[in-house]
Amino acid sequence: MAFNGGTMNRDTDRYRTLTRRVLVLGSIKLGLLSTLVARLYYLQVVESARYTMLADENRISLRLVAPSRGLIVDRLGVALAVNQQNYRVVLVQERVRDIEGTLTLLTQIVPLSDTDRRRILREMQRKRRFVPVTVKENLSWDQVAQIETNTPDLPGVSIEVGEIRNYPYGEATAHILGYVGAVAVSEVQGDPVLSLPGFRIGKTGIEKYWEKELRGVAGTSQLEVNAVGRVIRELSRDEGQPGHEVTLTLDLALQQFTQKRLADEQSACAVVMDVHTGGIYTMASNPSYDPNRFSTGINAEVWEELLSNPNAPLTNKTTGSLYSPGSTLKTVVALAALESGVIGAHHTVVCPGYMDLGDHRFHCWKRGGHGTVDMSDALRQSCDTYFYDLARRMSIDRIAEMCHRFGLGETLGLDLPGERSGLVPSRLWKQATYGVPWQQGETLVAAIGQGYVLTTPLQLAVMCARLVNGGYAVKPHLVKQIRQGVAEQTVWPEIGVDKANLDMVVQGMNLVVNHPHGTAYKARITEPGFEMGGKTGTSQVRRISMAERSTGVIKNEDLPWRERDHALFIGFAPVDAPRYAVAAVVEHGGGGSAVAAPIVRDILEECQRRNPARSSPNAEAGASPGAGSGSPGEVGRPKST
Amino acid sequence: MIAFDRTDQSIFGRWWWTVDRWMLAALAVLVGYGIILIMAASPAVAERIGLDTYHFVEHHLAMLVPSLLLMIAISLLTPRGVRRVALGVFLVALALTAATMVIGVEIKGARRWIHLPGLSIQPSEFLKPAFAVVAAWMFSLQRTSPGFPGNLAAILLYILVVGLLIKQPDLGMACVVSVVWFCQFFLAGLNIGFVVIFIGLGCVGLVGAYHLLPHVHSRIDRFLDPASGDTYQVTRSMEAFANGGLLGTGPGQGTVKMQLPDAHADFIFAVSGEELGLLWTLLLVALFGFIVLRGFSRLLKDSNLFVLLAAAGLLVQFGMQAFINMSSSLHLLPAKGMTLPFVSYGGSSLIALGFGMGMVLALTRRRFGLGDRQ
Repeated sequence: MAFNGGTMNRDTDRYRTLTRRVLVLGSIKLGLLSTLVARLYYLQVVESARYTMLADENRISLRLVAPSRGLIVDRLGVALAVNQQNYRVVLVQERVRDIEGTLTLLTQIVPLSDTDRRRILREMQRKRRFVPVTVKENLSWDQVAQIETNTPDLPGVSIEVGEIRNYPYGEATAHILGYVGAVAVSEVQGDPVLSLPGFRIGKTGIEKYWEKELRGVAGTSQLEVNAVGRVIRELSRDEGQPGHEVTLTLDLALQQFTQKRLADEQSACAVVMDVHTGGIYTMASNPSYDPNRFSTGINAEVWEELLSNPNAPLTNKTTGSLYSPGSTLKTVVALAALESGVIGAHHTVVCPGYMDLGDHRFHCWKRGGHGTVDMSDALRQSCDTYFYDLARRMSIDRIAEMCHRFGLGETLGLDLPGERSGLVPSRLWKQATYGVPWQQGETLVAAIGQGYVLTTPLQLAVMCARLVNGGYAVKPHLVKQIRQGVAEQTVWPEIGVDKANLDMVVQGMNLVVNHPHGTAYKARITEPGFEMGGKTGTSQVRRISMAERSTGVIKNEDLPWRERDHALFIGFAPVDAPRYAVAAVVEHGGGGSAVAAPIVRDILEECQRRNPARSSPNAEAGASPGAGSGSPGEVGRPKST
Repeated sequence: MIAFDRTDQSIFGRWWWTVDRWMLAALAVLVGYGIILIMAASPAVAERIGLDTYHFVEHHLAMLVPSLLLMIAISLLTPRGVRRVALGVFLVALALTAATMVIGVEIKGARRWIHLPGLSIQPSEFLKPAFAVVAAWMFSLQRTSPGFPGNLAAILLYILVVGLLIKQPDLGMACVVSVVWFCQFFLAGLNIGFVVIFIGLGCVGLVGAYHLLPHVHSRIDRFLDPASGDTYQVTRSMEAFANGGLLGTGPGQGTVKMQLPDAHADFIFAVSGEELGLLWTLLLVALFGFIVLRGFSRLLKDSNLFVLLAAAGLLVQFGMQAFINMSSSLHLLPAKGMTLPFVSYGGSSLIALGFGMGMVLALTRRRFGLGDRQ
């Protein structure tokens, strides 16, 4: 019994232990399951909201929508740079059964070169089968129509519309507007829109300088995509903001007129600006190029040809080419002498046709000399000896200082890329550049605008404007208005020169054109009220040797074109209330009076006929030429003769 | 359902009235749940690796049939029959597992598989349940046949089995086998002092594995500090749960299967979380819990130590495997390649599961005075 009882007890004990331990295991299992449940709850309820957002990012793909590029218009609102619809034919691989066959069919409508074909096939291999591949861009309307009518035979082929920049006036505005091109790797910074395939940005001209304003803000398109990136539908679309319209001070008709007028010359340029506002009405450079060829991607041969053309069609010569100003600089030299007091108003010099300085003889352009000349005569006849005399009395630094005050030797802050600063030499400059001191003879050469002095035609126009506008430091600009708040500056500080002195110089410029013995008398404007003033310039390209001088200087027309003198002219009109200043340079044109002055005359005549300063909606009436004595141009009102 | 008369004395009649029909129902629901998930998850995986769209679905169904038949067949056995079959399977599986060292096929750095014509099997999958039964037998012998060194035999067998598994190496299975064996020893009345010692040894073993085995090291590091390595799978998996939310995206509407190579196998739980949502996934967790706890509760009424230990071992094994799989998907445990029982796609493991659960069903059948005490 005892044994049995013991067994019973042991069995009961063991049974209890067992039960307890089974319960322990069961509890552990329950505990583990609870952990799972808690974790599930945390992930699927608490975290769910956050992950929903993350998962949406996988599902929703944001694509950029290229903004419409801002238009560029002239002062009257004529569109100079517009966006044209660019039709391109695209092909979706997965919908095309026979790619080679389809391409061959397409070739009958759109010519495809072997290079095109290779590019298309290569792109197809790289891209997913549902991504459209561009076959050809810039289709003509006929081609679009033919493809559309043949769609049943061309499965997977469709037409897409994009935008392409177009310049309706092509060559006439090329140097100002510039052109757009594909984004270079080095330019992809900041704005993500730049990495959009096919996106174009300004490469030069206004297009480049005002790129940020013209570009606009990219829109976004929210697309629902599946796991492999196929677009299912568009969820929402924000078109972004198109670029700002840029209004130029340019007057298209005058620009076209000028461009056409210059076309007779191999290489020439002219710039017309408002002497009060600084707005540029015309900036023409010949030869030019067609910027539209850049929009579609220029081919290498055309590009090579443009680059190698000795007449530099790609260069805007008014700001990017440097010329010796020649006699046009005499205006500022005369003013420097008057201002510094080294001569009086009635200073006279006897011109025997040359001046000796040390053992060197400096020649006047007129072999026989001009006899006794005062400042008025000297400017009118462009007597070199008179200015040699002034130069001998002044240091080069005094001339340089006056040149700088009139905008030479420095960039003028034009809102266009590629502006060059030119060169106004000084003692310091010579010492720093050549390591030798300045020679007085060099001052004499500089005083007639030769030697080291280099200017851009734009600088000459600005110089002229500052002379005739009563001595205001006007600066040139091309943009009239972009948007509210970004408009042209029209009020300028005074330079601080004596008005009487300025008057004398302007009077001299008047006589250059309107005095029967003036160097540009033949090019005068005869129409009453339109008369112009100005100054001729002829800048020597080659050095005239002693030997040549002794046998007689070879005439320009007998020289090879490359060695002929540059012809320059700066002019303004109307002579009694100046409003327009012009500078024109005809490369290797010969004499300024014979070649450049007639061009300026034609431009100024046309300009005054059009009178862009008044025709502009925003122009201040009082400042308009011919409006009377209220004009700020109190100076420069010599009686025309 | 099939109706059997109470008085039906045929082998199926008796089976029907004694088997745990609740557990049977739970297993049936589990299998159905698995089929739905495989159909949702595997086409994406199959297409991605270039197989026929329904390749995995077909194979899963093809394996389910023999697995379920095997389960029913085994569940017809008496406890003694179970013991005999388990012993046989144990010996064969042990031999085959040992053979993997020689003729095994190396997959992802471990030799676990034996390729037979038309079938590749992982013998350790069968070793695992068979060993649980054999160990239970040894522990019970210690009690019922005084003089027989059952505990010692169980310890020696354990060392042999775990040694083989570590050699493969298959650490996950070694862990499961260890825990199951320990639970059985615990239930068999292991002195509480030894319990502490074994737990201590287990910890030492884990720390040792962490320091000695590079792949264990990296897995645990990635678990503890997700920034330290590639946690792509687990991250996707957790996103799937969150994406599913309370109600899920709907069967077939999920995206995690597009990204996870194991969406139909080790990470099928994530597919459930995403496509069926929290409510249905909780049901899945509850099913596993129900099967295990229901089994335990049946065992409490059983007086046969062998039956108790064997069934408890098999249930712990079943529960642990499910727990480890679900925890890995939820980033509660380091990623461990282990299938979700009856739900995951996984050829031969399904057969092994049918074998194991068949034994559970057999052992938890009601016996009326037929207690086959030893």
